[in-house]
Amino acid sequence: MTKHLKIIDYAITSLLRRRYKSFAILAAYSLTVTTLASVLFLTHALRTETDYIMQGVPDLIVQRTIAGRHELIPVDYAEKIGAIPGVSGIRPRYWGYYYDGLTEANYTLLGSGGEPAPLQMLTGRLPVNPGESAVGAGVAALRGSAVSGELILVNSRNIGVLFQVTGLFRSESNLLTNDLVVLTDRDIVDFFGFPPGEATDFAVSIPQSSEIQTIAAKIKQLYPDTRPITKRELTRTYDMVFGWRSGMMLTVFCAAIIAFCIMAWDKATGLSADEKLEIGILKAIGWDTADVLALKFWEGLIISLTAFLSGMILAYVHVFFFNGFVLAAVIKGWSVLFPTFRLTPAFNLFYVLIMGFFTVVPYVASTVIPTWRAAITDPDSVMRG
Amino acid sequence: MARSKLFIAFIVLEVILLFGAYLHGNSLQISRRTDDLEAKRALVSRLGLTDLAIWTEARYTRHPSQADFFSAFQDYPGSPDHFPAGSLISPMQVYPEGME
Amino acid sequence: MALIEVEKVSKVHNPGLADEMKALDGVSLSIERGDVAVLTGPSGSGKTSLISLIGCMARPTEGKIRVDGKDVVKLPERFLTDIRRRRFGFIFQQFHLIRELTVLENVLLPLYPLETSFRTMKDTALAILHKLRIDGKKSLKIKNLSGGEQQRVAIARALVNEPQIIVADEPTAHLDSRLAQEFMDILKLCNQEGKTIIIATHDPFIQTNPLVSKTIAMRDGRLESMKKK
Ligand SMILES: Nc1ncnc2c1ncn2[C@@H]1O[C@H](COP(=O)(O)OP(=O)(O)O)[C@@H](O)[C@H]1O
Ligand SMILES: [Mg+2]
Repeated sequence: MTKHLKIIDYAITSLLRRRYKSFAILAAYSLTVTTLASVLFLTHALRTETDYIMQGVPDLIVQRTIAGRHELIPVDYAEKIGAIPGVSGIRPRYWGYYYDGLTEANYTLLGSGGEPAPLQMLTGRLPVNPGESAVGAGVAALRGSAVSGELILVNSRNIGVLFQVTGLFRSESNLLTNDLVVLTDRDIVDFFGFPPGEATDFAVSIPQSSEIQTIAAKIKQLYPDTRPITKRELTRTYDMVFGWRSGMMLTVFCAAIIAFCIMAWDKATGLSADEKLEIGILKAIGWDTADVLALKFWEGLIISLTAFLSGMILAYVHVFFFNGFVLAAVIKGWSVLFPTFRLTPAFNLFYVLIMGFFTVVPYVASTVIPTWRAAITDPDSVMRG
Repeated sequence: MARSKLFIAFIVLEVILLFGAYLHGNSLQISRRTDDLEAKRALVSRLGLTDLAIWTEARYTRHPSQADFFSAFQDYPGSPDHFPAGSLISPMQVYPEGME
Repeated sequence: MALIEVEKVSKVHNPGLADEMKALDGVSLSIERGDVAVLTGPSGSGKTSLISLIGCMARPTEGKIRVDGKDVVKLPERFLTDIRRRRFGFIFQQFHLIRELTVLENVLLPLYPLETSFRTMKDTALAILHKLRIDGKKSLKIKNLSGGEQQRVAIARALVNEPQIIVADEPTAHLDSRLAQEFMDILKLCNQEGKTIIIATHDPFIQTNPLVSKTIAMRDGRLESMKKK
């Protein structure tokens, strides 16, 4: 025990001797871990959160497609679909996109549908009367609606329409509502100039989740021009977001792997004459092969463990206390309206252990293994010049 | 000896911090689930939302689950996309009925 | 029984390879406790090879070496290391100090792999630095020291594990005559404490020094003569 403490001591002394190199490696290494861990924390938290809140999505969405494109659906389709056994409710959804030339941002306009139930994530209330609206925090900030209490949008007949803002979505719900403008269903129809009797799509309620597939098939039979999208498909989409195959993950992981390889290569080839001589000296004055290897082991562990732990902590703070602002800037792409990732922290111990294994073990190995040969040779080599 | 003890103290501190992060995350998972997350879920089901409002630059990035097969992923992820976000989202996997 | 007994020892470097080289050929000798033995001979005669074997840094190709009655030839590496660190103190021709470390850190080096506490270890090292009158420079880096000071640090490092036997290879090769004299004075002190000293050198100054009690002459890997004074 004392012996290992002393060897750790010497390992630190050795690292400090090459102070700039050591700190450069430590910094680069920590940064790599931080990047990887930030991606992991963010995606894991996002997935955990969406897994939960997406349980609220409609059981089945029915779209109509014409010539392979999404089209408005006649409201009277609802009658036959609603009559299918197992369907407990069906309601038309009215929604669409709005490009705001002023701010160069895209909004999502959505009909509120149904009665204005009180929502915890909404300050104020959903629109009930014509000319009322509830807006997301992103839109409100962009247009100053929170202060003015109103929002002007240009409708399909190129006429500016003034909406009273009766509700503001709380910024905690940004991930869902950032670009939303909720109007009454009537106002949506009016605003976009939908042909009478048509809606964007249907939301179908099916209490028995095992029946969703069959009902979807029946609908497809009944109306071959429809495309039913089941709840499973909706929720699975978000399992796929940031999947490992996606571009950024690949880029990040490739970069990390290349960084590791460069480091390992530097280690493996970089046992300089000086280092070899030092190992010889240590052996000649009474260090065992095992002691020399222990020294190298500790050198590797000190760097990699410090880098791993610091990187993890930094990533956690970055993602959950600073809303992953660095990563968000990368993910943002060309979105004008981009939500802050105010995620509920999720900490997956398994991921952390995996990260630990893959950062610490290769580095320690690449420190110890090249030393092996030098450590097992007879120390008499130091006797000659 | 002072150095090794300092190092060990530092590592212990970092482990404690990381464990603190673990506890922090888990406790928030539980406490927020009861209010925030529940409220968000209520919001989703009340408004019938289907997608996250992360990327707003195109239909298929704003509503990946709703986009039709042709306009969404025109180039398919993996190939350079018009929009950077397109490379972050995997396409919706649609399985033939009965297959999983 | 002599402290060190070498019996018909041969050493072949790189056996079986193109650059195979027989450095020692059937050397037998013995060194008593308290001896100051000098190995002489022209360059390439096998002095370094011989003291590496005596110092348990390498194994002979043939023959027997006994240190304090124990045959060391067949011992596993671990035990050789152990003998090295308990019984031998080495002084190398180029000193082989670690230049970026301080005087004290260099002297502590042989003690790291032992189970002694850091405090004891430091006390021992400081006592020896004091004895060699370089405790004033203990926090200086080696690269900032003069040749004579480095020499004393090298001796201090050789003494820190309180060895029975001090082995030195061409210790005065880089020193002027005044420093060489100083070196012999320090060795004299060690010898008076009962330490056995083995020096490989072709420096006539050491060979003729009154301290020397045994002269072993080498030539072409063979023992030429062994004279007791
Ligand atoms: N590792 C080695 N490989 C090959 N030849 C060696 C090696 N070490 C020493 N020799 C050769 O062995 C002979 C004896 O060398 P050495 O013991 O260093 O003599 P000295 O110390 O008397 O100059 C020399 O010819 C030298 O070239
Ligand atoms: Mg020599």
